[in-house]
Amino acid sequence: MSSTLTFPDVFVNASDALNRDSINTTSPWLLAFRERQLQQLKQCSLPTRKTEDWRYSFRHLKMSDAIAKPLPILSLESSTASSLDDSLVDLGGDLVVFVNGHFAESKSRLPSDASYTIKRFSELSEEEALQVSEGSSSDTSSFPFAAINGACLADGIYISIPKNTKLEKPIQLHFHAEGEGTTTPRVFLIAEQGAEATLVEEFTGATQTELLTASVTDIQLNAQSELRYIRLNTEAEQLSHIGLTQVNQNRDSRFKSFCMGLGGPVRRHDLKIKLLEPGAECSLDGVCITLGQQHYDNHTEIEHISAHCQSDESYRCIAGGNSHIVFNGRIMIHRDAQKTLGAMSNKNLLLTSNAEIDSKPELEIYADDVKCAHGTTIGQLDEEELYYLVTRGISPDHAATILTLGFVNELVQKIPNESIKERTEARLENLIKSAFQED
Amino acid sequence: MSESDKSVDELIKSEYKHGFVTDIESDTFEPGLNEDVIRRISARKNEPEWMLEWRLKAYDAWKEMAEPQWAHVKFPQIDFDAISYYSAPKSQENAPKSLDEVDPELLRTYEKLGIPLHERARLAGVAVDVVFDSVSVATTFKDQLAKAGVIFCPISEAIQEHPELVKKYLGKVVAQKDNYYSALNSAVFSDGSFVYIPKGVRCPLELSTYFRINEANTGQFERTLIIADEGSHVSYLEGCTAPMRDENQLHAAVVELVLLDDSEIKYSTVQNWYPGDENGNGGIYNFVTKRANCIGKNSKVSWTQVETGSAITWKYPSCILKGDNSVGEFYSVALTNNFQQADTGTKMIHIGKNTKSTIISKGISAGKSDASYRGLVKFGPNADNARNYTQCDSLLIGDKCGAHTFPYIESKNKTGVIEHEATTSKVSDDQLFLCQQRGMDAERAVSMIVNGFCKEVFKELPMEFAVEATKLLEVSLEGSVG
Repeated sequence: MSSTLTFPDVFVNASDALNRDSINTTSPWLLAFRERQLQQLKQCSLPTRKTEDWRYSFRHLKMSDAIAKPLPILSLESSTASSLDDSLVDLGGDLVVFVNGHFAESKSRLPSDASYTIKRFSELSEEEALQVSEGSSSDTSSFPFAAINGACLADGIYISIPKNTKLEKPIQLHFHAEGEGTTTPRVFLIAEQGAEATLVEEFTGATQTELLTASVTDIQLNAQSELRYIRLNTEAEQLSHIGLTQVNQNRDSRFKSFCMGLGGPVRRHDLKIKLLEPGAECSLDGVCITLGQQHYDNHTEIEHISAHCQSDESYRCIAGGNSHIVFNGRIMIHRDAQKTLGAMSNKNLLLTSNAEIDSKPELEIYADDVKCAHGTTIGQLDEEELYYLVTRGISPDHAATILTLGFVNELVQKIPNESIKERTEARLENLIKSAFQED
Repeated sequence: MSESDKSVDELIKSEYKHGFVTDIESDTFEPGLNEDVIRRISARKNEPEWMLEWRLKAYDAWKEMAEPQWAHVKFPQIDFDAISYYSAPKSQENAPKSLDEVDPELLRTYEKLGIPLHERARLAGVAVDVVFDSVSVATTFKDQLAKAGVIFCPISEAIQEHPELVKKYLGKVVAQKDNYYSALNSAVFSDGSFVYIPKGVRCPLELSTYFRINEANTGQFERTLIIADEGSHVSYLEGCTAPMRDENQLHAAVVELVLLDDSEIKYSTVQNWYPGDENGNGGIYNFVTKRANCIGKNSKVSWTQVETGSAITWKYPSCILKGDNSVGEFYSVALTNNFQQADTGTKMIHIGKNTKSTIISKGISAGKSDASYRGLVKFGPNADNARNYTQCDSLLIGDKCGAHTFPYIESKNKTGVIEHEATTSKVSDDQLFLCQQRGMDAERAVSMIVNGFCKEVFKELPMEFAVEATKLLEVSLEGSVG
């Protein structure tokens, strides 16, 4: 595997090829959308050591030109089907499955009634298409992968929840990827006034060669709406995932996110929240664990643009083996955002001396009547707690596992879905166990 | 609030007290920087060949470098060819041997500044090495120090008299190529202080240097080198004021501290350079590189700074904790008002085992200013049982200022513990109300609250400095109640 990537040329070529192949089957707005993103992509360059937003993760971006092509179309009857079935846990609600960037109808279950809209980008009406094109502005200068997503976008999912609709069951989106190339999952969700829903995004997959997932999720929350957002990364080795989630919140809307990073060699997730109108609230929780040579980079940015907004953020990370975890949280309070409350907490556990944790909690504040705080710790398990458990006849490895699990459990318990909670807990326990066995 | 608003306006408008230009004839180079200028600076100081080569090497490196852009400050591009790189009072030829011989004009300058040099020197027991613009003109209490074996002299003199020490340590803590401004300083530095504390000596006096920038359009490039040999102890004070003028002045100093086994250096700074007028015109650009290298075991370095002046402050006093069990401390109060911008903080680089560091940073922004804390805490793979505690608090006064925090926390050791806390808030209305209820005016109440906010840092300052710092803060802040 060569490690050079001719950027952005190879992706520009991939986008051109995509346009050639699908010019007759793609709706005009999507072609125009791709074209706009392509123009942005042409201006991009890959992050380097000097790119502040990528100073800790640039070195993990090891890709070759082979990655710049769409993934092969997989037959759902072949061997992949079993690996997909293994990873797919049905939550009982509406389910949309994408395999290698293509909608897998036989695996999906779309809503039987018309309580809300969920469709593929290829089926959008003009009005809906306009919402997507207008609501998907990405700053690609510091995040070129969003431009890759846009320029190579084959299909996406559009969700619209009408006024005052409260969805009991979660909307489950499952993205599965295999083979060599790039996949570009894209989600656009708009919650109208007073709507309430839970969105689950799960990314799974495996590859023997090189695979890049460049995902983008755009969320628009109108007045008084509420969205619980659960994001699960459970991909296997070799697969790189670089994702962006952007949320725009209007008056009195609430956004709660739960981002679980449970595997994969290179993970990066940028979560950008804009609190546009008074009374908007967000709470961001995240848990991640890395082992072996893995890398996980959490970037969050909360922009308080309007007064009387509130944000609360808590991330817990565990690094074992030779792995590397980054947390970069940024709270920015604009001049007019008076009476803001902002809190950020990042706690990290470093299990081995070959692992590395870098934390960068930033505050940028231009308004005076605010209360803002952040706290960060990097440390290890408490010797006394370990000793206590060991004196009770628990083996040291097991004791360490219990305590480590306890360290993140507080956040895991907050996941608003029983099935995911249990699954996450079980997976975390396995990963933590293997971390202590590695030593 | 209208009452206090009025007094706010009055006080904000209060002009810089120390703003005046002393009329002393100076010997100043024409603006511009090239190899010839460096040769001339070196020749003027009768420097040996190795020193000139060292400067030229730094100049070559500087030419290749670019100005750093990452700091959270905005200012117009500096024209490095419009700056004069050397300025010395003419009277240098016959350097005075005692205070009586010092140019009376100079003495009056210090008096105007409220620094009665002789009195301060005798009564407070402080030796003052006065840097007037770029050349040291008077050094007091040399005898007493000499008795203890302490060398405290201008660095230009040290280059002549103690070349072995200078050669061994100069540029070893802050490399010539370390950053853009340190390279510039290495090429053109004019003078500064040199301190050597021999083995096992506890310096009998607190060493002090007052810097004064005088000649318009002259960049001031001090170079300070302090070496604490095994088991020694020294406390060093640095304080600054500058005359009022319209053009921005560049100040790029380098301070290097070397600590051998069991030694301790306490370095305190009160900085009150001209911050520019209320419209943001003028003011000093303060781009300083300060670093301590705890080479020896059990050494301890402590930086304390009170920064109230300068239009732009770009300053990160750092500690490299190389020796096992070494300790680094950083206490800082940075106050910005009007259009001042400060991007300051520290770096704690833990390399040795059982190293400890503490960072207490207090930022106060008023007016339309911006204050940023930027700090790095780094634990290397061998820094077993290293410990860091960081607390950086910001206080906002008025709704047009900004306070920012950019900490970088990096750990590669599983036995290390890092804690970082930061808060940002304003002077609470409740506190203010309570004080006013008890008959205190808003001014005094804010001043008292701010003093309390900074107390943790002030208590680290030597006595005389603590008094001065408190006063400075009052003057700079009074009336910023919003």
